Amino acid sequence: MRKLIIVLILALNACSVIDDSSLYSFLFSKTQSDISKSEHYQSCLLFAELSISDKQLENMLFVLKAKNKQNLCDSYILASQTQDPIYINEFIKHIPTGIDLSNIWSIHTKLDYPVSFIPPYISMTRNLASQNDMALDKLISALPSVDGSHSESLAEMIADLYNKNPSRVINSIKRNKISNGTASEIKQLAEYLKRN
Amino acid sequence: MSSITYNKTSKALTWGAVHYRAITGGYGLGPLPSGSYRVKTRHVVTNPGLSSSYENSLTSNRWFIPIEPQFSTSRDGFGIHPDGNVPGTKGCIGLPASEAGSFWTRWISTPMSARPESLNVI
Repeated sequence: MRKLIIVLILALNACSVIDDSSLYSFLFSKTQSDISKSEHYQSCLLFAELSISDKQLENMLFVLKAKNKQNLCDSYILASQTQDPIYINEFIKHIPTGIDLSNIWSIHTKLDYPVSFIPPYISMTRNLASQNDMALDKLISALPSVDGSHSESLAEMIADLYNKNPSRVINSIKRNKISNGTASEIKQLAEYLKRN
Repeated sequence: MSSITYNKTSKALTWGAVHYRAITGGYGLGPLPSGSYRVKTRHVVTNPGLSSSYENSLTSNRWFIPIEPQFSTSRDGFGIHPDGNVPGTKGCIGLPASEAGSFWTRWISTPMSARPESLNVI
């Protein structure tokens, strides 16, 4: 009986989300739909930036907390919309490493976003990386796999973090077993940024 | 529709009768793969908030012209830009400051419909 009540509540809640024609409902239902990767990605970015009311926030929390398994989009939305350290830590856990992190950049570029617009998942990770070692490790883990302009942007982020705290970045480079060549490129770039 | 060519051996980016010195690679996953690319003329970015990698050190202009491979490759994120900060690129075509100025002046003074929409890399 208890299970049935929970299912009914969830179903009613989902209906209210889908039936309501507001932008909030439209975008939120998109973030929870099984749609193409690129459409889902864009929905997550837009929804995370949407100004939402306390009631909508409550509704969003209710639906997302009831999910068995949250994904990167869910954790990004929760971190952006609540700024709660619990959700921020969840987001850091969900951020992928290595080539999977690079793939976020590839999806972003295929959508024709300008090169100056860094994928928000990555810019949030960069902001957190100045104080959080897991976020820093995840950023640095992508160094060997990112390409072209993505690689230029990532190297600049890491060089900037290096200038703020060299030993943190050096330790993370060691933990990630990044090649000496790549490590010296970062140091060279950091020197350049300091001079200019 | 006009096109441009980049020759990796002679390190020349050719637009019509004019050759611009330019490099590709030196870092990261290596030089731009040979093949045909679409020049995304509607997605060119120029602003001071861009990475220092795209800065012309003589003019301080920062710009980036994205290009998209028209063949199957695992690589991406390429463009044409001034070769800013540390010399060399991570696969893009980088124009040294002395060449980047004249290329950019020509680019912005060329009507949209006459800007090159394809790039051939050999």
